[in-house]
Amino acid sequence: MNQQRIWSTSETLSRDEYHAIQLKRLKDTVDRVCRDVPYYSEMIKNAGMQPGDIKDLDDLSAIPFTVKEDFRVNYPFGLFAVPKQQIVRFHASSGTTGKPTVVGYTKNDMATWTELIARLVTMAGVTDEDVAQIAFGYGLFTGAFGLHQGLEHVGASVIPMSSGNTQKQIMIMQDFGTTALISTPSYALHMAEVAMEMGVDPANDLNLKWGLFGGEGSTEAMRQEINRVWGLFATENYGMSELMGPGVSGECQALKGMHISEDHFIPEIIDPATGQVLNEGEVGELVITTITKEALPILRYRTKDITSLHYETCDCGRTTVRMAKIQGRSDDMLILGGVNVFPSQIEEVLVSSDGIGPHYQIKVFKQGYLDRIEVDVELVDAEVLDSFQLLDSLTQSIRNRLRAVLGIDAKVTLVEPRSLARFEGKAKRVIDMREEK
Amino acid sequence: MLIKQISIFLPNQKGHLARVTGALLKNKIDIRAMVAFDTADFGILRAIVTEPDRALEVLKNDGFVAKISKVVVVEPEDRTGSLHEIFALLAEKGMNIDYTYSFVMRKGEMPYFVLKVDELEQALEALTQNGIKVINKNEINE
Repeated sequence: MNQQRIWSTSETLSRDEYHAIQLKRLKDTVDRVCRDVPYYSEMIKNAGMQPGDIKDLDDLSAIPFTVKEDFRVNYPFGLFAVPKQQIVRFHASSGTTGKPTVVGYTKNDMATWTELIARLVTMAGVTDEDVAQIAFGYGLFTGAFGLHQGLEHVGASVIPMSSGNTQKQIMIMQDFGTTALISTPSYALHMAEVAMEMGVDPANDLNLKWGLFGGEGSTEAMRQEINRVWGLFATENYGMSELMGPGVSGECQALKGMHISEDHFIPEIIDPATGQVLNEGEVGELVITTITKEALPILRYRTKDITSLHYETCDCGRTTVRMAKIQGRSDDMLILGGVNVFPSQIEEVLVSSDGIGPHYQIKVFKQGYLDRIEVDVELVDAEVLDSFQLLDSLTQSIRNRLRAVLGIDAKVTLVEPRSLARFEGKAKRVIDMREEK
Repeated sequence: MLIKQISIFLPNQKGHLARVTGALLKNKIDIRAMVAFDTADFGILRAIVTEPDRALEVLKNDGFVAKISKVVVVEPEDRTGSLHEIFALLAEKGMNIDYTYSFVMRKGEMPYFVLKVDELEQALEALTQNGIKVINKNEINE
């Protein structure tokens, strides 16, 4: 691999330098929210603390968590630390139930966001020579506009396609010579299928070099599949609107986890059950504090994403902490007959099985007192139609692997290709039909 | 002569058989023989059709998982023991019949029998040598 480009010198500071920057910015942030956000000043007071109590980074753990519900309670602007007049951009997350989560940005926030995306896309391989097609939906969702600004900032030629209209996406890729694709990983797989139907082989007939994927989790096996069908180099990036949008972290080409810009965020890992802070390398829920945001500073936000943090210097030369691939959501975790399983683990097994496609649907229900799990997968390999034994042994082998890897017994059902739901945004692949706990 | 048979993945869904026959009908492909057994969640539909290659194309375009494989088709004589002679002959030669099914009964004539054997060419030879009528492609489309 060529010498990797690093966008900013702030990505290669020493641990001591990060520590000093974080402490100063954390103190400023806590002072500011106690002054300008009544909800936070109340929260800090109720915790028996004062703004001046932050003397070291370890003191952060005494501050209570912020959760998604806090955004709902303060809808729309209750958590904002600046008057609305200073806001230059609003975004909002898709509220599945009730009101969406509203976020806002000042001019300086927009500059920070743009800078962080520039770091991220540079890590992924994009330069000013690339043509970047954004297939995230433009609108209140942060994904499209976030990537858009940063890609323009590094000088890439941006095509603001938005999501959907897949045949046109493929046509534009051919006609504009797209070299970088920005989308969700499942939409990338869907687009490849559509391209094939159109008689376009994405790996050979198109010029894609880089794939920047986010907006939902994916597995290593899915990445391999995307690399193969598109003939590109896929990286994953991470973010959420509550914290800023995309740009919180992203993978470099060493693929050793996603680099968090520590001069803007302080990450922690906690035990999701107890809230205790865990050590480096331990797996738990990611908690993030923003330390430079003006409009919407957030203290100790519980992301619900399960990961771990790693502080050694990366092969790419960056010294920023890396978070491992998201293993699941703390609230997506399925408890099946006493075994903890993340849908992503099931996906990992399925995607690496021969003869079936990458799409799947998981159904969980009660049979008597027992949890039953059913997995529908799409048959793609016609060779197994030679005999029923071959067909049957394909499902048996998947079932056996699920049992061996995850310790769960799932009924595997083969369905026809393209019969399972495709998702252009976040995939919803688990249907839990058990009673509400 | 070996005959092309088409195998189609059959999920256990209402109306699936009709989707298959509908796709063939739309393309004016005639079904000469067809079999599917009761299986729990999914099975394999096997059929002998006119224009099997085009049938495969049509079915794949409609989203079915399908494949062509070869089989032997024979016409037993209309008397007791004629089927036994065929099966006994193949058994004697050490050949295993994976599955068999018959054509739709024709007016006053014996139905053809489809035989899926691992050793297709040898089966063909053994059957012909022993005076059993093996059916060729043109006869199927009659």
